[in-house]
Amino acid sequence: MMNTSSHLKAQASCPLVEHFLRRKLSKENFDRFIPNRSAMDFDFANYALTQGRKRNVDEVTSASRKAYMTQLAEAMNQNRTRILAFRNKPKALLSSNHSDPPHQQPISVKPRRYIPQNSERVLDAPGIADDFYLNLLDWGSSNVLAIALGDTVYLWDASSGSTYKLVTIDEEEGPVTSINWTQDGLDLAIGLDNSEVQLWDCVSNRQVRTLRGGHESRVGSLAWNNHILTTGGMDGKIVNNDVRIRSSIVETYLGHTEEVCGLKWSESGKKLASGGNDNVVHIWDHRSVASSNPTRQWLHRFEEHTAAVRALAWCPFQASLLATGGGVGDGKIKFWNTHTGACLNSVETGSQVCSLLWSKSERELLSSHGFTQNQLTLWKYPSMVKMAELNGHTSRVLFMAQSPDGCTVASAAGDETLRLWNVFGEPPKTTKKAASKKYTDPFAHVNHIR
Amino acid sequence: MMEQEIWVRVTRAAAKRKASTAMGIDEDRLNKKRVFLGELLNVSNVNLLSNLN
Repeated sequence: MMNTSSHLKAQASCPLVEHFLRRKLSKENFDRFIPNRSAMDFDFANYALTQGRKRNVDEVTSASRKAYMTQLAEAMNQNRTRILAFRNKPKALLSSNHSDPPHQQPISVKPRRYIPQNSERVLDAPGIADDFYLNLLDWGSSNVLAIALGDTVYLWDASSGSTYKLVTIDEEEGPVTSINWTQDGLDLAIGLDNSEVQLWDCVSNRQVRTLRGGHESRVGSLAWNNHILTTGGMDGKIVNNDVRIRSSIVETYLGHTEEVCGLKWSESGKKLASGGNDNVVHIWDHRSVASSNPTRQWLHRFEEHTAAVRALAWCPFQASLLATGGGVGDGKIKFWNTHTGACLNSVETGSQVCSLLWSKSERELLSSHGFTQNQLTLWKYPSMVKMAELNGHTSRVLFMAQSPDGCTVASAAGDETLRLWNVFGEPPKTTKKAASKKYTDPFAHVNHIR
Repeated sequence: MMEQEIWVRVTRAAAKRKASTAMGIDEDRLNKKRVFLGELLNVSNVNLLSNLN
């Protein structure tokens, strides 16, 4: 005690010591009407008197920036309006200095869309095949959903909710192994177990053609590209059929050594993506000029998946971007630049990826999965953050199809149910106008040159 | 050819068929009970039922 006081006396000229001495004196002579200099923040006072007005003139452009500025001001204790202080508040100062900034979330510019967690409709799908390599569900642009249940193809009109049977295939030819609508939504291709493909006019409900000779085993994948119908078979072959020509086979793509289970044309119709049971994805180039060589080499070959690739989806807002999903032994979603052949990203999902769909209005990707959760997962692209997980199916969700307006997704699983999910939300008005205009087009039944 | 994506799972139809043989119920009558693409209603979906488009 004596040493401390003598030490303080010895350094009386030190400003810090003077500060303490003055503070002690001020405590003894406390007055409500005289400002307490030791309690005042002179730096803040100087700032408030000189630059404070300047800040008021500034206009904050966006809500998120305003929220950020508010949070920053609170963290730096700049929200005070008073300059003079009449009492020394050491506890308040200490707590203010050491307290954590508030954890409130900044105001988001875009409110998150509500995604219903339950399917809005459940339809019975008795006899649907629980086969990973088939493609038994498709939603046409005329708002008719086609589904193959065993030997029979059913059409469900989404506008009216009515169901009707299109065709029951003979036992020797069936069962149905794939279906795919033409771009105008008026004709349906039906792939069969006996390697044939039937073409049906769904306006008059009659068969117009049978394609033969392209494959030696069942046709599990189909993809239309205007008047070209591409078929993928259990024999690993991919055949381009021009349905206007009597001898329809115009091209054969050889590259897969096992069953072709995924087949998708890009929106421009210039590139074809194929996935197979050999764990390989091929990108093929479609040239309109017929060449002398009917067999063509692939553009790219992706071998990074470690299981069968059935899920393929071309990105609608970024040309040349392809999303692929691997089966049980892989469980990954990969993104490819099909111009350069580079793998841009790979995301582990934790289970078999059966199907993939891009949103038409937002940068989102929907995936359907198998064992153990049998869920649909909605991802935000490109961060690949999970936005929603949709449960309800009790078996692997093999098939997904998107409505023409882009809002609703139909999913079918081995639990023999067809579920409709309002997962992508309401479309923008412009998109809706464009969509409705497409259907009312008087020449919709005529093939357009694109 | 290896079927690497095969999962053997008993569907409801298979389970019913198995049950019908045990109980001696006629399979034709059993099949008629299910409506193709018929609406399956449950409690959680009734409130959310809405028209498409």
